[in-house]
Amino acid sequence: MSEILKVTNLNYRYDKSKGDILKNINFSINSGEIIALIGSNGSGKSTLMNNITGFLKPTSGTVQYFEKGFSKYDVKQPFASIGYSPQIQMMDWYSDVFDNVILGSLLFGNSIKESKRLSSEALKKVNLDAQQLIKKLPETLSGGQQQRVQLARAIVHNPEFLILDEPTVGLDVESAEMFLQSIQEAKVTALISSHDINILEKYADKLLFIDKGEVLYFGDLQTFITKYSTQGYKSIVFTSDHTPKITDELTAQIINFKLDNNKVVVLAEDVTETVKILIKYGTVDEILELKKSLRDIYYEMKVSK
Amino acid sequence: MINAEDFRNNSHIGMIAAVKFMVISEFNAYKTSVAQLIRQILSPVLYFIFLAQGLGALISKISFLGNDVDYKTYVFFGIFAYILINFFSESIYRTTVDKRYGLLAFKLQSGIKPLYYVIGGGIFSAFSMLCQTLILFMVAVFFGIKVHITLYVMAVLFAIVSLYFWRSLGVLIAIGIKDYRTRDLIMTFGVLPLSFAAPVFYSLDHSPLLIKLVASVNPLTYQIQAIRSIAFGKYSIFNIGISLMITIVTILITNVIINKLNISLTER
Repeated sequence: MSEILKVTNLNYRYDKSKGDILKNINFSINSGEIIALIGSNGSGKSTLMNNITGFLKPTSGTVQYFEKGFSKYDVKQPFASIGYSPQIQMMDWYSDVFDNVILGSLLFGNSIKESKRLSSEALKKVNLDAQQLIKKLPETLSGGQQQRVQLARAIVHNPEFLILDEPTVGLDVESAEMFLQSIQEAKVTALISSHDINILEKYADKLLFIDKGEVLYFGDLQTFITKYSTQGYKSIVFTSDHTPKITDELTAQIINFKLDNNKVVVLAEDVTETVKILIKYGTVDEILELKKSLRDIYYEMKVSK
Repeated sequence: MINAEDFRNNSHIGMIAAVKFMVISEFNAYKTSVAQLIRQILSPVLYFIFLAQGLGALISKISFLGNDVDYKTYVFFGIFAYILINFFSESIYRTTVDKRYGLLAFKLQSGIKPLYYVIGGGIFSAFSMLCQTLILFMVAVFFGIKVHITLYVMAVLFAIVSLYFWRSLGVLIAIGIKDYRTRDLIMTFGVLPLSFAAPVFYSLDHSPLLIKLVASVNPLTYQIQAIRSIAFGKYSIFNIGISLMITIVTILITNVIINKLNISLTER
């Protein structure tokens, strides 16, 4: 896998009088990888994407692309290798849906005939190929449909690197999964920012977690989940007729627990103490390790900060 | 290896592709609005019928560059000012949308050079102007206005050159507009008075000093006088020269400013 993009010591500030929005960001992306970019609102995700797409100039540091990472790199149109769907609805609101997508293809040197064919294909990929929809003005569509138009425009010229800022906003689960699956199957390199962490976990290879403009984690997604899951919770299945007493005693002894019928979920470090209490009033049948999802870890990290 | 910040400077889709793209994108936006199409065709015709015919019944001759000419014919060419101003509004309108929704940044980043953005974006307007002036010509002939065909064609071609002044000025102004409220304010208090402060329906020869002064800083004055001078076969080198010069200078300034502009997808 060749390196496609390298971000080195990237700092960015909108206003000289204010602090850096991005602080010393470092990471690189190889061809074929799907990177999940997560972080809370205002953490700098969109600013990072705008630096990566060249719409913003770094205050210091570099964002470099390597031609050898692309198979169809065009020196005269380097931006043609990239498909970008920003957070804003970047559309010509006075042109219909089909024409909006066609323009995305025409801009990268395709003929009108070819652009029409590519646009039909792109609209199919985002599940928006109904004739009655593609001849409508974007403003008459729902938010989710507008998002699909934007995504179709980003992929219409078959770019090798997709940069998608909140692509699943407004999309139903089925359409979001279908779209991301098509990216995965096409083996397109992609940097995807989203709050839809469950979906990202399913399709991403790597994770870029930023907070307050700094990288908290960059690396293999599964390694991240495994690492933080070990500090996870355990579920203890028990049999007892004295649940209220167990509840009282757990409350007195343990800060965090969740009791649901014959199952109590506690932090791994509290398992021994919990088992002692449960044995006093019944029997312990099973102790299960709960594997945390990326979403769980993300929210825990947010709460702990 | 390329730095992302150099995408814009390194991208160049070529003049023909860029102009073609701009023409198609303007046509696409245009074809969705039948009302606008009808307005563009009908407005100048209605101006001519009601103003030129109405006022022509009261005034038969008017002084133009020291000569007495037919008032209806004088006003007929004055309608060109109205057409030009409409394209100015159109240019502000379209560029504001382009800028507001990140399309201007996207186009520049993808290799549309500023000059092609201005030139290409005006081609559809030029075609539209040709259609308007053709219809206007037929209506004028119907109402008995005597127009020399060759001179008329030359006047129309000159009007198309002048259109590019308004196209590039519109782009330039729209780049500085931060929101729709400012745009509407400029449209109301900037665009409309332009046509009143130019000799569209009156002659500068016998106007009060104040009007002469205001008109002398209005580009439309020189353009409309130049168009008339061509149409009447008088060829005012002064007005033609000023009009050409301001067109070239404005296009160049717009080109330089867009080139230096920090493009962003959204206003902050």
